[in-house]
Amino acid sequence: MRYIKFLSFLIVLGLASCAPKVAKETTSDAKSTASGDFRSMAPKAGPARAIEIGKSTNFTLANGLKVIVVENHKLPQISYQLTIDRDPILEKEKAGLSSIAGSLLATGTTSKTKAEIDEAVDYIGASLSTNGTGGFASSLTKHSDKILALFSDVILKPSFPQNEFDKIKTQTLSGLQTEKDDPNAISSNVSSALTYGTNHPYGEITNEITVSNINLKDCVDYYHANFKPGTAYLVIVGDITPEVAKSKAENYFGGWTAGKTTPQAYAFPKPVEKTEVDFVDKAGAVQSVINITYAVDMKPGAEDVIPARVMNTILGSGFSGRLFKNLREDKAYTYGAYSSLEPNKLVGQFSANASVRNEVTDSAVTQFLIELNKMKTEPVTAKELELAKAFIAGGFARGLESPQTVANFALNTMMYNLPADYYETYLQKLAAVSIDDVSRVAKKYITPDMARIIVVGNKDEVMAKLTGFDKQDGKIQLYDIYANPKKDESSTVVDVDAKKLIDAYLTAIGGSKLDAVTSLDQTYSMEIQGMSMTTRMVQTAGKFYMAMSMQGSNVMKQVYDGEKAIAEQMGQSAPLEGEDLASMKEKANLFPERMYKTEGYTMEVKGIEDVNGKSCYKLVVTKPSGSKSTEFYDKETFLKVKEINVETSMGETSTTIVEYADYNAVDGITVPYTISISGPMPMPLVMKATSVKVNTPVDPMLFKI
Amino acid sequence: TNMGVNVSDLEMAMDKEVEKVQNELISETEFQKLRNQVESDYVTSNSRVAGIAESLATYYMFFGDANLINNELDRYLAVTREDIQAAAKKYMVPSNRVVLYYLPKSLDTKS
Repeated sequence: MRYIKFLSFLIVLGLASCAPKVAKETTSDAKSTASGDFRSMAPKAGPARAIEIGKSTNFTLANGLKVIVVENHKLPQISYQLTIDRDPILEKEKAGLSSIAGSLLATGTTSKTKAEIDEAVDYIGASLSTNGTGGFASSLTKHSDKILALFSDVILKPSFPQNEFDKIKTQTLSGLQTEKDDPNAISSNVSSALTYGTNHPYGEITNEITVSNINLKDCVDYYHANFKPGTAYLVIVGDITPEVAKSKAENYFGGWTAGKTTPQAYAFPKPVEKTEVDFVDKAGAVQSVINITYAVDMKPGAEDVIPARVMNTILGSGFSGRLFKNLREDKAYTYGAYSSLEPNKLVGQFSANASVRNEVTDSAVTQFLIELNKMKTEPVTAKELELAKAFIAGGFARGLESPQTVANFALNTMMYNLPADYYETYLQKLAAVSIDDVSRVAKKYITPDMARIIVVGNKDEVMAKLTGFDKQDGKIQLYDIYANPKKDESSTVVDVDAKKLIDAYLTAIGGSKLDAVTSLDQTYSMEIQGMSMTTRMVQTAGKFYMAMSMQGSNVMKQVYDGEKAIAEQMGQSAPLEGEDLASMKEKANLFPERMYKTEGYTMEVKGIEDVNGKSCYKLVVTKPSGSKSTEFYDKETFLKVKEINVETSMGETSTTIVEYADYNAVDGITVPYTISISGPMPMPLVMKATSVKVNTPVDPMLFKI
Repeated sequence: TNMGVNVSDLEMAMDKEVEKVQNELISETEFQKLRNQVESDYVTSNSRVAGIAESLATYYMFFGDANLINNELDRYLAVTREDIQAAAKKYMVPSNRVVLYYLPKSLDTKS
C-alpha cells in the first residue's frame, strides 16, 4: 500500500535548532495499488486530539494599563496589540474623526517624521499600524526592542503633523467619492443609519461633509480624550516570558499618564413594528443589493450566543448555508447569499443579504423570507445540526494553532467579563446544543415580520414590484445615499408633453438666438488625482474637437471632421468606427436637444423626480444610434440638470451620469459652467468653465485629421 | 502613470533604476534591510501548518528537495551585494523583456 508520512517539526532560527525532519515519501508502483489512484481517496482522519488552550499571564500596571501575555516560543516573533476598550462615541457632524485621528498617530512623533518611522520599521522587516482605538506592532524577536520603542513612541508621543493630516483628509475624501457610487457601501451606510438611527454611534454615516468638518485640533482633542491606559489592554504574544514582558511593558508604557475614558450610554434602537421596505435609487443599476436586517439584543458570552451561532451557520454561513443553496445553487439568482447574527456589547445585529439581478429582485426577497420563516417555524434536521457543529468545532480547533487566538480569548474574557473557563468549555457547550435549542433561538432572533428590507438598485425597474413586502403601509420609503428620506413623485401625473418640454428647455437656453450660433468654443478646468487639467471643446459646422491637456501638453484628443474621426492618447492615434463614429457625429451637434423632435428620436416623459432637492421632469430619449438617455429638466427653470446615458459596447453596459449646474448667460445663450461626470472613472470628474466663446473664429487646423 | 504623465517617461525612469543596480553596489543599509525582510518573511510564511505544507510542496515539486525548508534562508543570507549586482547585469537585459503598455479607452466626456 502506498502511504505518505509527514513528520511535524519545529523551526527555530538563530539559536540551537531542534532536529528538523524531512517529509518522507515512500514510492511504490502505482499500478500495483489495488484501490486505484490514491489522489481520489482522501486520507482517513486520525483520532480527535484533546484540545488544550494555552494560558495567559495577566497583570495591571500602576497607570491602569492591563497587560495580557501569552508565551509561545514556536516562532521567533513577538507581537504587541493595544486595544482601548472605550464605549462607542457619537461623532455627529465630524463622523470619521476617530478613524482619521487614529491613522494620524503613525505619521509623526516628537522625535521622528513619518518617513523616518516607515524607514525604521521597514529596515527591521517589522509591521506597525495605529487606529482610532489602538494599534498593532510585530517583529522578529531580535528586533523587538526597536519595534517596541517605535510603537510606544507613536502611541505616547504623537506629533500630529499638519501636512500629514491634510494628506489623510484628502485621501479619505477621495475614498468617499468612490463610495458614493458603490451600491455595497450605500447599502451598508443606509442600513446602519436606519437600523440604529442617526443619534446612535452605530448609525452615523461618514461622508464628505462630515470629513470636511474635521480639523487637526479635533484629532488632538480626540487623542487626549480617548488614549487612556485605564481603559486599555496591551496584549503581548510570542517568543517572550511573562517576566520579560512585564519589564518591557513597564519600560515602554509605564510612563503613560493614568486616566480612563468617559463612559457613554445609549438607548436601544427601536425596532420597526411591521416589516418595511426601504429603497435607495441607483440610476442605471443592473443589479440590486438586498439587505434584510434589524438590531438584536445579544451580548458576547450570553447563553444564546453559541446556539445562535449554530443556527446562523445552518441558515446562511458559506456554501452550505440554506440561503446559498436556495438562492444560488437552486435558483441561480446570485453569486452568493448569506446571513450573519452578531452579538455585541452595545447592540447586536442580524443581516441576510445578496446582490441579485434586477429582474429577480422580488423573487429573491420572496426566497429570503421563505428561508427565514422556515428556520423560525420548523426544527432543523439532525444532519444539519451535526454538520454545523462539526464546522464550528473544526474552526475553533484550527484557530488554536495561532497564539494570537489564545490572546484574543484572554482579551475577550476580560473585556466582556466572561467566566474564566468560557473558552475551555466552549466545545462542550457547543456539543450540547440540541435541535430544540436551535428552534428556541430561531424563534427569538429570526424576525422577518419586524425587519427592514433595504434595497439599493434601479428604482424604475425594481421598486414597484417590492411594494407587496411592505407590511407597514404598502408604500416603500425612498432614501438618498445619506439615508435622508426622499419624496417619490414618479407616480405624479405630469401635465407636460415631451415636445413642449424640449421647447421650454430650448427657450430657457436661448430660444431663437440658438439658430444664430455657428460655433461654440468652451474651455474647462478640472482636477484629477490632485493635478490640474484643462479640457477644450469646440463645435462648429458639423465638426467636433476635444482635447484634454496638462500644463500645456495634450494628454488626449478627439476630432471629428464631418466624415472621419480619430482618438489620440499618449501619442498614439486611432480612427473611430461604427458606434464610436456615430457618437462623435452626435457630439458635433450644437444644442443636440434640437434634434429630439426630429425623425429617428423617440421621447417619453416619465413623471417627476427629485434631483439634488429640486423637482424635475424626467424624460427618456432614445436616439437613432440606439443609445438611451434619461434626462432631468428642472420643473421651474426647465434647464437640464442631469442626464444618465446607458451605453452597451461589446456586450458590456456602462452608465455615465452627467450633472449640469451654474448656468450663465453668454452672448445671449445660457450654458452650464459646472459639469460633473461620474461613471467612467472611479471618482466624479468636476469640470468648471473658464471660457465660453460664441461665434468666435475657429482655426480650421483643429479639425484636420 | 498618473494623468498627464507620458508612459515612456515612466519607462525611462524605471530603466534608470535598473541600471543603477547593475552599475553600482546597493548601500550597506539597503542590503541589511533586505536581509532583515527576507528573514521576517520566511518566519511569517511558515508560521502556520498550512504555510509549512505549502513550502514543503513547493520545495519538493520545483526544486526536488524538501529539505530546502531548513536551509533556503541560509542560501538567501549568503548572497552578497556583488552577487546582486552580477544577477542584475546577467538577467535584466533589455532585449530579454516584453514591455506592455495598458492604456485606457479614450475618456468619453459626452458633453
